[in-house]
Amino acid sequence: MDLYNPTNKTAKKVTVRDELWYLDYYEAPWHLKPPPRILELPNEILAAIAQFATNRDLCHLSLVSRRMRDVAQSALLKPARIPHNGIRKFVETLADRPDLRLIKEVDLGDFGCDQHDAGLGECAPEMLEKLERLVSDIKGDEQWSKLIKEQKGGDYYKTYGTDSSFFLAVLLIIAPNISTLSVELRPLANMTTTRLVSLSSPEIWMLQVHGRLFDEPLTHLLEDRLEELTIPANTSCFKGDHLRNISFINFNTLKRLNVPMNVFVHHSIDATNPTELEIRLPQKLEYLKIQACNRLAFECISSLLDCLREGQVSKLRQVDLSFQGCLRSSLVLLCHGEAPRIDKLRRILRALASDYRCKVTAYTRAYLLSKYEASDLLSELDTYANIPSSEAWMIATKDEQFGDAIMRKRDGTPRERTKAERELFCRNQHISTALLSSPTFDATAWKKAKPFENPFPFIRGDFFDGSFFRGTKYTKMSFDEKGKSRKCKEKSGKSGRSPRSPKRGVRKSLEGRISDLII
Amino acid sequence: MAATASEPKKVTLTTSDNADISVEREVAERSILIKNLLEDIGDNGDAIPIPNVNEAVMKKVLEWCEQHRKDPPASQDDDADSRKKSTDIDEWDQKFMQVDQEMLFEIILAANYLDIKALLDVGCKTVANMIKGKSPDEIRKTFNIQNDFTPEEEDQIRRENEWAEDR
Repeated sequence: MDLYNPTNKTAKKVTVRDELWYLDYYEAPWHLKPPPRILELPNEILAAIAQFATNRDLCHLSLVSRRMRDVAQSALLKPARIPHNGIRKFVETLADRPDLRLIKEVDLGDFGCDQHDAGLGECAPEMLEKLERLVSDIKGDEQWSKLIKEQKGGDYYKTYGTDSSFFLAVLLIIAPNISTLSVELRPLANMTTTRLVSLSSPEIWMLQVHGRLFDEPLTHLLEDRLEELTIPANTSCFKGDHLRNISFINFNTLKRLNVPMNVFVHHSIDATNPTELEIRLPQKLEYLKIQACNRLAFECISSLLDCLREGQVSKLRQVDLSFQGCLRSSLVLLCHGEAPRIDKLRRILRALASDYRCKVTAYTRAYLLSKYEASDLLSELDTYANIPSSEAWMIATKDEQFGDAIMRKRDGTPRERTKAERELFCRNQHISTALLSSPTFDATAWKKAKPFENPFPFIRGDFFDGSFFRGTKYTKMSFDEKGKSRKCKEKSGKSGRSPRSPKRGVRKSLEGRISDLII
Repeated sequence: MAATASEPKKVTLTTSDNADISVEREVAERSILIKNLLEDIGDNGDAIPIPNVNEAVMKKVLEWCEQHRKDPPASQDDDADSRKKSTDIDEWDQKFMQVDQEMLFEIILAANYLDIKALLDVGCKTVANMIKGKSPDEIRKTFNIQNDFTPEEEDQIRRENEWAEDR
């Protein structure tokens, strides 16, 4: 207002404008604009949109309007993705809002590191009393004193009420429906990476063998409750060596388990065999997913069969193995590239399928950013055992599944390719492998057919006018290739000829000059 | 292979504004609704009525189906996380979704009705990206929503959501 006030002037220069300030200038006021179409969407679609939003965006969205608040706040709790320093505030919110205590899924993420507990903040005394009342009402006074006792450790006042596992225990008690949990592994024994590196291997071995997923009394609370447990393979920060030896055997109600392979693995004291794998699974498990499968995948599958044989798990019906690489390299990894292992693995998988009705599916991806593709491990292995490694390689480079390339007898059982077929296959990579592996495919007859005669028939463009493959599934592909290669040919033709002619010219002129010199 | 030698099968869809659109069956079957309809009633050449979608939106949806006709069905792994982290969208889909809000929401509603999961996801991701990183006020401006909160209510919501902010 005051033009002569110098402070005001400087303030004017640094005005931060609203990012969308121009909307105020160019757009009509809200009542003249078209009605807010987003509010015409039904709630389930708004919820579908909200599931792609981050926590922060949902917080902002819930301040937009009443309807958006309802959508955003319920999305925040499906699952409740609790930040590493947010569990205290979350428990306090739940203490004030009984309606929110019906949540079922919790994603703890990077949980329970000692370093994080400092960021939790203090719980107000009134709030502690309130929590005590709530816990005592549900589980009795003993439980509360047990929680405090477990938490207080050496110094009562230091740890009381500031530990994240204390708040998680309270959360589990006041929200009785939580049955799905996702949590990252803590660093081993809560040590920093630098300390872990400096430990000797027997010390690490001790930590691994006795390392548990959670401390008491949390473990006890979770064991009788959880139906689905996920431990993500990718952690939000580096936490050192993740080899563990976690036993899930006491999770009495667990039905679905999704863990990285390393939780079953531990260092062994035996130096000749540095790692061991031991799988112990709970009784009621129905679904097991193992992520980040490594070279111990073979041992993993065979010990799964042992688990089933011993009657450890009787309801396991589906096992998913998730690999980092493509199908071929995953199978090589799985069998260590050894033919006897392939056969052994096939026997194990058959036994799993026939005796225990347990199916093993492999999830693989061709390159890092592509989507995972599911394939039935047994049938892929059947194929893999029947094709030479060069063919397997070729199929992998084409990004096809092995099942497409297998030759089958009339009754559907896989067989090896004949020599003629193999020759055709190796020569004709431009043709989809599925065509070559049709049960009615006759290699000797087709060998003389024009497209197979020349490994690059599209170069003779006159032949490939599409009439050959018209109407078949592969029409489109061959057209594409034809188009591409023609272009390539034209290009290469130009660039191939053009350097030659100047060369001649240069040579002539050089000859001329030389002759000039001689004269 | 001989069976597929004939021309690709076509189906006719009648939209809400009584326009007939003829489309290859494979393309139309990206919609689970149409796929199930064709399986149930059999393909007798009759036009299939789609009463909830108008011609302009249907054409747009079919354009997407045509582009994605060969896509493999989504594997289980993509749905593993019920709150998906990635809001990445293919380049083609991004261009496809560059439409006004009216059309965007129509496409989402149509994808929901026709049961095309992948298209619904792309639409929802697009809207989620419009929300991303914006303040409540900016969100209101973007979608022309009226603020119906009292300052006290806003404070209460802030308190209730405090736990979630950092992730």
